[in-house]
Amino acid sequence: MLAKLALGNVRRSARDFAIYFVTLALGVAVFYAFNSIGMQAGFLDDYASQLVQLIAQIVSGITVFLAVVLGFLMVYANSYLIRRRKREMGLYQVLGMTRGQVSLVLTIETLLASAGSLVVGFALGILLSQLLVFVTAALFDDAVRNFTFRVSGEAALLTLECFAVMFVVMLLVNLVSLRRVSLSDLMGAERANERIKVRGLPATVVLGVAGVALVGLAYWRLTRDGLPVASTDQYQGFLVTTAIVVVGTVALFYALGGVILALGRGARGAYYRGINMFTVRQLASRVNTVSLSSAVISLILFLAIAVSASGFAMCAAFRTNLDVSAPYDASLSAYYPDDADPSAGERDLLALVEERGVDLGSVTRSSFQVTSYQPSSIEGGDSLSFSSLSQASGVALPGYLQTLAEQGNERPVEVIGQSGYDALRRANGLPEVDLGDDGYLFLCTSSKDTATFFQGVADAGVPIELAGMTLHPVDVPVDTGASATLQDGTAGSGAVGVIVVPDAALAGALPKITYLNLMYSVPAEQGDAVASDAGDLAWGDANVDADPSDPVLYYEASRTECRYASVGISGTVAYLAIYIGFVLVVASAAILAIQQLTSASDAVPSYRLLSEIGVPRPMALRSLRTQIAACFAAPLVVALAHSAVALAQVIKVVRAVGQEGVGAYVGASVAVFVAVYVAYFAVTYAMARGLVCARTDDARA
Amino acid sequence: MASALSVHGLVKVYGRGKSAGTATRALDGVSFDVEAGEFVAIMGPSGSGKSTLLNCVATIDRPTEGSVLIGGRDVTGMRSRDLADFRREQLGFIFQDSNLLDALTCRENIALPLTIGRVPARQVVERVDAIATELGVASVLDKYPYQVSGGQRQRVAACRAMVGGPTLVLADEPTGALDSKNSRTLLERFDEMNARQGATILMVTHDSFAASFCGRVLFIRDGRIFTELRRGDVDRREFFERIMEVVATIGGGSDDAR
Repeated sequence: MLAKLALGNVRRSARDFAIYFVTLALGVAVFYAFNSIGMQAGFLDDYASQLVQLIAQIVSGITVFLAVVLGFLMVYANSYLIRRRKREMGLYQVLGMTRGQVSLVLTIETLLASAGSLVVGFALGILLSQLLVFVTAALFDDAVRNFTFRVSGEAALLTLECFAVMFVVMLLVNLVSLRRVSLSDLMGAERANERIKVRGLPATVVLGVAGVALVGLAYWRLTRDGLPVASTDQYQGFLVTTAIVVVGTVALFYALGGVILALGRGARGAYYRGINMFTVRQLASRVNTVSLSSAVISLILFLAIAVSASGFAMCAAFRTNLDVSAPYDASLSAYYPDDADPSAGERDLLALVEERGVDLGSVTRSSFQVTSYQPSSIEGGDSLSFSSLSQASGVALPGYLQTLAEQGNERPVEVIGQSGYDALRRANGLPEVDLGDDGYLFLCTSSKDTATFFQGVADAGVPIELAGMTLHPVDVPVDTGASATLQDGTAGSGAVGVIVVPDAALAGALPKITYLNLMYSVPAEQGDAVASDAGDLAWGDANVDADPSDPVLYYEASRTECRYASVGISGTVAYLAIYIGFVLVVASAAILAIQQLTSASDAVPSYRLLSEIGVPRPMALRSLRTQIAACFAAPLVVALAHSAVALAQVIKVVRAVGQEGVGAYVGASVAVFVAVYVAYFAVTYAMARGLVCARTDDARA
Repeated sequence: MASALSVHGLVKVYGRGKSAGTATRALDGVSFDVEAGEFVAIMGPSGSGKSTLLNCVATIDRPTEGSVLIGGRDVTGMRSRDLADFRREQLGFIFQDSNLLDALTCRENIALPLTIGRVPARQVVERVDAIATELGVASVLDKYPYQVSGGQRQRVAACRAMVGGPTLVLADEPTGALDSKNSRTLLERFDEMNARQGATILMVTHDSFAASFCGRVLFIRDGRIFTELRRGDVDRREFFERIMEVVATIGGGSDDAR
């Protein structure tokens, strides 16, 4: 009997349950789909498959955090449902049902709705995960192999467990809330006049000023301090900044209702026109009742935008510059032991490798090698370092180099000769640059900021003393292109900076590293196999058994590997960014939608009355639209403002370690988010409009 | 005097078939006129059709047959877009549960019909103050509806109905939720508004006491006009006695005695 009642209830208040149902189903779908990513590895080739499995592990960690977010959402949707049905709960008790029985009805109802949405959610999630296979493949520049329709039992189980826990929590919340209210309150719930929460003008002014001041202070602090990437000391400050922005945002939203009202009433002519005063009052009271959750939503949106935009930015940074960072088919390098004989000079790596049994020459169309030296092994070069260049020129070191220098970990400058640079230029099809007898030139592929630093030093005309010569910068801009790359690597992995000097300055010095770069005469797969054999020499006994004065092979990379590595990192980052960002935006937009629909349905009598006293329907709907739009826009605008400030810092960091052009990626991802959000607004308005129209029409029938 | 309201042969049938058996004839040929400046009550037992009649006159419901002329214009055939304008300009409503907007102050509630009609802000304030003083609610103008008493709420609702100077004020059981003291205050104000400003008021009520403030009472039963009483020159108490007599004849009769 009770079960029948519960089923009937779910059917009857389908509209109310719909919101709960949709939220839950969407949550289950997203949750399942992303957790099933491990399964997708099966569709991809070995390399991408390993990465995807790694991501699967990370995702399951983050999943716990997102489960909490979704759980909050479920409880919220549920309590909305219960609030709307208080009177009904009261009626059951008046008719003689015990609280236990009412609780049971409630439990059965929740169970029915949850089970239904779980089934639908799983179905959606399974479809979504099949789609995601292709997204994943695209992210990893891979093709989908042997695709079949699959279901991940593991992900399903995890999803089921999470939602079982949430269901129990929700049930407890319901029972407690039912127990805590008196019967007369339940019965009177519908009739009670809606109390309008109004904060006085002084409170509004204080809160508003405090909010603006705190948020401004946080912005200023963040812009001054930057992100805490360089040291742990900064982290404390960053936490303080975060706390300030949270408090400031909350204060802003507490003040917002009052501000809207004050502004609205200030413009008296406009206020007393049409139903503007209704719109303003209604909006102010809505904003006031949901000020805390609006602030939270705004912060969640901020988090979502910041996380995914920085994810995309990093992704772009890792990805864009393979042409510069890996211009050769394969690279091999070897370093010279400190006790090697300087007079032996630069060694031929191709010959060295062949001596040890790998015939690289057989797959090579062309090759060249470049040898670098450390200033300390050049006569009179001991004092040459980034810091000394900075001091001599008065140009400040870029942030991270400064930090490293302060920690005593300064990276060494590498020096190469004119002949090596000529080889680099030729290999990249570029004209040679003549340094003359006493010129020098900087090469820099590590970051834009570092390149700017070197340009500053060159512009200042700082002379360099080496091997008894005084070198002056030549009038050529710092080389930041492929010809500045000594060997293949991922973006930003090369030397911090290289100085090209006349060969004469290096005569007799002990070489540090010789780089061998190859262009294959055969297809990449074949070439890579041989290059990889050469690379294995670095690991096997070959190095150990070799003549101790021989250079030690220690690095091998092919363009194929660099591409995988770079795509792998960028794919991983992008995947996580999408996952987290998507869930957060869906969650916060769903909460907003629920709030707006609740308030629209609470306001139905007002709209009916407006219609009765002769307000044309378009005017009433315009007011509804304005209210919903403002409630959606407020958290978004604040989140966007926060994001703009934070992302400026993110871009700075990414530029320091990577490349430019990330601004466009950040902009694009923000645009996608805003689009999703606007779509949510459109759907919410359409539903609210339907609600208001249907119930005002009812009144006339 | 011109007719403010002229109802002719009004029929309202509820139910699908619109034939005998399945259908209910809530109104079965009602005709009457209300002159400008009259204060008329419509009385009748539950289910007599008085609310349906009011809804048809209020343009909230469409009659099956017959015509409703307000200020000389037939409202039964009007398009819904024109109806909104018409309601705003020609009609004022007072409901049993005052039906004020909770989000607005009393002042703003009263101002609403004017602002919708694009009356300049300065005039709005003046007219609101004037009508509020008239109905004795000037002191609560800046309070919210939930902060004032039920009687004051109802008078605020009356202000809202009358502030635009409508052709016809329609009141549906305006004293239904009020105690006798507040009822009396409200009705006296109606009477004053009627006498001094010439407001035309059509009030539906089941309360003989409320009806006794009117100049004329229409009794309706089973969807038809049963009879009509005019107050003439008699005083209110005596008119009340006469209303009671009619109520005794029809009121219990149709519903309870059967």
